[in-house]
Amino acid sequence: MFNAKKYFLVFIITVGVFLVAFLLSEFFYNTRISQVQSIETNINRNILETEIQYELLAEAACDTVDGATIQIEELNDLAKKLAYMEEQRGVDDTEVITLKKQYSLLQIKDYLLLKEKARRCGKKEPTILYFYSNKGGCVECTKEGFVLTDMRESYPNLHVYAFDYHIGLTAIETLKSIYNLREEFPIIVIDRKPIYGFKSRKDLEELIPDLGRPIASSTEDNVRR
Amino acid sequence: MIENAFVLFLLFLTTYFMVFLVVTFLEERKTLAISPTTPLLSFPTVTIIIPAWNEEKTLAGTVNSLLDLDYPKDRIQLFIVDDGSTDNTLAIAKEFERHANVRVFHKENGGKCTAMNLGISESTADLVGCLDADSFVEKNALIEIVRYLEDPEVMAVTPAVLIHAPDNPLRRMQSTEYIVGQFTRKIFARLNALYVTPGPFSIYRREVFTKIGPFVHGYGTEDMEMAMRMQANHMRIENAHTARIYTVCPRTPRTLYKQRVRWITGFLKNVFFHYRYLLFSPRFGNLGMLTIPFAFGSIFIALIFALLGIISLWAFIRDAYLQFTSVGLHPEFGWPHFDWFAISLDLKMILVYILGMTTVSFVYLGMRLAREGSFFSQNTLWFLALYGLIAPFWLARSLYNLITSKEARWR
Repeated sequence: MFNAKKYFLVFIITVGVFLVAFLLSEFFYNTRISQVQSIETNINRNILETEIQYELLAEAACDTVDGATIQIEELNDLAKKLAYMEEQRGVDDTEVITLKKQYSLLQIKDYLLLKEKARRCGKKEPTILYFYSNKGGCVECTKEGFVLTDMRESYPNLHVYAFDYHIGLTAIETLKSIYNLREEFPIIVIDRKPIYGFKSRKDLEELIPDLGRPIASSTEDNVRR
Repeated sequence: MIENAFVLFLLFLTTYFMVFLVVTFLEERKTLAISPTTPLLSFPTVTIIIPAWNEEKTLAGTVNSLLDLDYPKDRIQLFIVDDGSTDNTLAIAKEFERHANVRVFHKENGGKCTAMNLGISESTADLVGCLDADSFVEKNALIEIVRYLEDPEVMAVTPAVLIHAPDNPLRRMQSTEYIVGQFTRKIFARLNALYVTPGPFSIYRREVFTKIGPFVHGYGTEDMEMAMRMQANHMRIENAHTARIYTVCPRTPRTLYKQRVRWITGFLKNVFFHYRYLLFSPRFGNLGMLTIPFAFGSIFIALIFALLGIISLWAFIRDAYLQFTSVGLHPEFGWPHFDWFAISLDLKMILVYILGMTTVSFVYLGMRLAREGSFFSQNTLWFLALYGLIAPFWLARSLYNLITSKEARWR
């Protein structure tokens, strides 16, 4: 016997299940956004604190402040979280793009702070600026991401700043014009010199002689690709 | 965007079907059990046909289990039909002729349905059943089935088919699959929407065959064809979940694949070529509106999800390969670092988790209904780990067979 009422009731329950699933997904999404925003706020505050300390202590800051290294782990953790969100929500998700923009700005601030430290203290730390593209399925960018993650794990004093070339930030556009970058991915900038195409770990080790001794490495997928 | 909406639509259909089963279970949970202490009103005469084709290894066990049934011996007859075996099957069958209620028939090989039909034509009993020669019955199975046939509306009863001695991962997987199948079969029975009367020990009123005719080949699935024909003629089929039958299931991936291709191709061809009019017809109740449309559609849905799974798996393998070619192998030691961001919690995945949990609950309920197996067992783990990976292969092949109309062989 066909009981239309039951079919309708089941339809309503199914819509209810979808609604609950939708609300749960929105709740988790918003919680994650808040968590990422909180990390970004934290990093921003740390950078600001370090900048102020530099201003207050002037030359003495070289002995007392190690601000640039404070941010590395948090930036790496943030990168990993953003990578997961981008993978799950897609590269076009507006919230994820906003968070990535904020992340990119924090990286630039950290990079500038590092340069300031080098200028004041005369101690230059090995740094890589890495530009990748999410457009056109850049396989070499994926591979470069693995190499840079691996190197960051091996060399704790290595600073890797990864930028989405097409994210649409004025600050990134400025970096592009400073280094006169072309759209050939991946792009690595070492000592203000852009290098195009995939570079292996060995290539990079040769390009940055002052990396120091590597520690036992492990891979974590946290350099943005 | 369109792809996303399409996947959500498929998830909606699957969720709708699952919710329907859950709601029916909740409605019927009190009526699901028939007290085993209820005495039978009478003992109708029964003929059990055992079609056998090269079953020398298992035939004796099957017949012995039938002889051991808890049912008056003068009310039950066993017909062993040797379907042109080339091994020792006939000789083994003849040894049982010493029992007064056993008859042996020999015929040229013509397929299971011809063996069944020979038995039916020779029977004068009230009830006629079949037991494949690789299956065994529990002592109380026939009484449990006859109990349902006391309702004059019921024209056939299916048992709880379970796996005999699962001894490897593939068989363990099938063991749990059959238990889930038993749960859904019971719910379908409550909905009067069963579309298969399985070979192992489904019992029919003999008048079924006089009214709607004997078994036909049915693309190698004569039991499905018969059930669909009965439903098309508004004959009620019940399920006796307390009548437990044990069957031997395929041991290797190849034999399992062949069996499932035969079953699913048979289902698809029977529905598509002969019983299409059942689809979405309210005249045929839940069978027409729910179980057959969903069983038909679920093959497409499962294949689409399998395709999406393959795409994700491919992306994972590609990433792992790129990582290996970029930096080599870097085994990590120590506790893995858990980051809850790594778990996908979007709408689609939450629905998949809900459907997964519902399936697991069906395993549990199936075990309780059939009083078989343990939920926390290897069998459950093998089912959860393997089934989704291998089922798409036979689904894809069956769909191909439907499209190209190639018939799957019955053995």
